[in-house]
Amino acid sequence: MKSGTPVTEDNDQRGGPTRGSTRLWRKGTLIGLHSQSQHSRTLDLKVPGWPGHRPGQHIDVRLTAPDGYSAQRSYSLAAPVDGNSVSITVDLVPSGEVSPYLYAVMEICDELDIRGPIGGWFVWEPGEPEIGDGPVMLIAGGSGVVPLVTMLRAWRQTGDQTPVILAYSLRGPDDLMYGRELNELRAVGVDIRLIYTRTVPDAHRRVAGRLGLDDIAIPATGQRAERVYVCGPAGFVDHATALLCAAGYPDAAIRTERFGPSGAD
Amino acid sequence: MTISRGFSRRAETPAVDLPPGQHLTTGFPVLTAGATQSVSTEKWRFTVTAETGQALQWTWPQMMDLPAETIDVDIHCVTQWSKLDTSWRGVSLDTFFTDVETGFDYVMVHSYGGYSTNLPLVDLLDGKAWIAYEYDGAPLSAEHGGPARLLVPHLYFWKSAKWVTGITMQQFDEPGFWEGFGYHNYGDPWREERYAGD
Ligand SMILES: Cc1cc2nc3c(=O)[nH]c(=O)nc-3n(C[C@H](O)[C@H](O)[C@H](O)COP(=O)(O)OP(=O)(O)OC[C@H]3O[C@@H](n4cnc5c(N)ncnc54)[C@H](O)[C@@H]3O)c2cc1C
Repeated sequence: MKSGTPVTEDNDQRGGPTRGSTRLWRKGTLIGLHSQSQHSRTLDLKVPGWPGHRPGQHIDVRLTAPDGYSAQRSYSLAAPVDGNSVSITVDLVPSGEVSPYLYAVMEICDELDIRGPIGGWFVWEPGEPEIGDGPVMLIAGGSGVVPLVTMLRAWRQTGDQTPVILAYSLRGPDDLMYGRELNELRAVGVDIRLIYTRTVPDAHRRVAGRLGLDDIAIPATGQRAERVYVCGPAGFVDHATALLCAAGYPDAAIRTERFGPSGAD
Repeated sequence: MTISRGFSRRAETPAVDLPPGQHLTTGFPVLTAGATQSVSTEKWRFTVTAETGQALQWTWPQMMDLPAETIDVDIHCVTQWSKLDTSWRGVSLDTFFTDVETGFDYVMVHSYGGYSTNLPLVDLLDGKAWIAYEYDGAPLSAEHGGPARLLVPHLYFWKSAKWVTGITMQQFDEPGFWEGFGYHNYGDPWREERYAGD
């Protein structure tokens, strides 16, 4: 027998959505654009029939040229569920094929195909019993901040009390995504740590350098986070998980999502 | 299929025949659900467990005594990269299964760190799968699943479990880790079986 029996409906639901609905390609129409940093922007898409999603999940985006050529890439969902609109935040990879189109060419009313939501592992919804009173630690490298901000938005929307730490590693101030929103989140109690690896803005106390043990330490109590989510380029994720391991985190507490690069690594 | 205004082909079409939706990479991307496992060869064990309760176990030196093969294959990841002509060294699953008595058709593969993936047994036999411990002439590094990983090149690479530690025979097919999260149960790259229902 060549192929196994199909995954049951029950199993599929652990991933959130029901079968059938996730595999469909649906038409997405661009309805909103927001600049997010000097080289990233958020795209809001209207997707009729969208089945809903959980913070941390991603979609596949498919672009098709008039000659039939098409290209697909994955993008994290950049906002909690909201009817039939979904958002993604795309960071420009200048030599890339898909991100330059999404970053610079696509205009309001243009269309593309999307499918999803995909992934049910790299998900945090406030109230998960396993996490209890937390804390939860989110560790982002570059555009890896996107699904983590979606989790923080859901945390804020539900008025959740779980203590949250966001450690966000970026090269310099020009790379900061969601700057204003991060300030607001800090004001409502999120422990936000910006880790500038090359260029540090004035008045920032930490010196330039890559993510270190201090950046993932939990002050006062010295306890560890109940759950850690790490997202970013593959090399960054490996570096962060090695630090977590050195800090004594058990594997079961760590969830990771690696963004490309789809080419060299 | 929706035509996206202003989008045109940018990548060069590779001269080679790739499964649909894949593009070539020359690097070796690392994708793992959690942290990289560190497993010493002293600690490493590989166990095949059949329905009879029979469990055959190999230590690292015992595996090293088994006949090894060089495996030159293309590999395909569900995240759309393909890598051509990768070179591995390892032991065929046929060798491990020589003395396994089973009437079951499915397996669950287990890894250090708790990862699992399911396959039909036939996809592991007849020269289709290996326990690989060298990549490109050097010991397999931990980030790529070292000291040893399963290698099933004809399926998407999430089936090639890193840090493999055992195979359990099963009467019925059950989803493994990613399969339970909506990925395709079988994962044939040439049929683009990425997600459940594809
Ligand atoms: C689950 C998942 C979620 C993702 N979420 C997001 C997201 O929210 N926002 C986002 O901007 N991206 C995200 N990505 C990355 C995204 O899918 C693309 O890889 C990225 O936009 C580059 O695509 P491209 O077509 O422009 O480049 P490509 O044509 O694929 O690549 C061109 C060149 O750029 C390099 N490259 C490719 N990807 C990257 C990268 N991510 N960083 C650095 N160099 C790269 C390649 O090595 C290659 O040399 C996600 C990836 C995954 C797997």
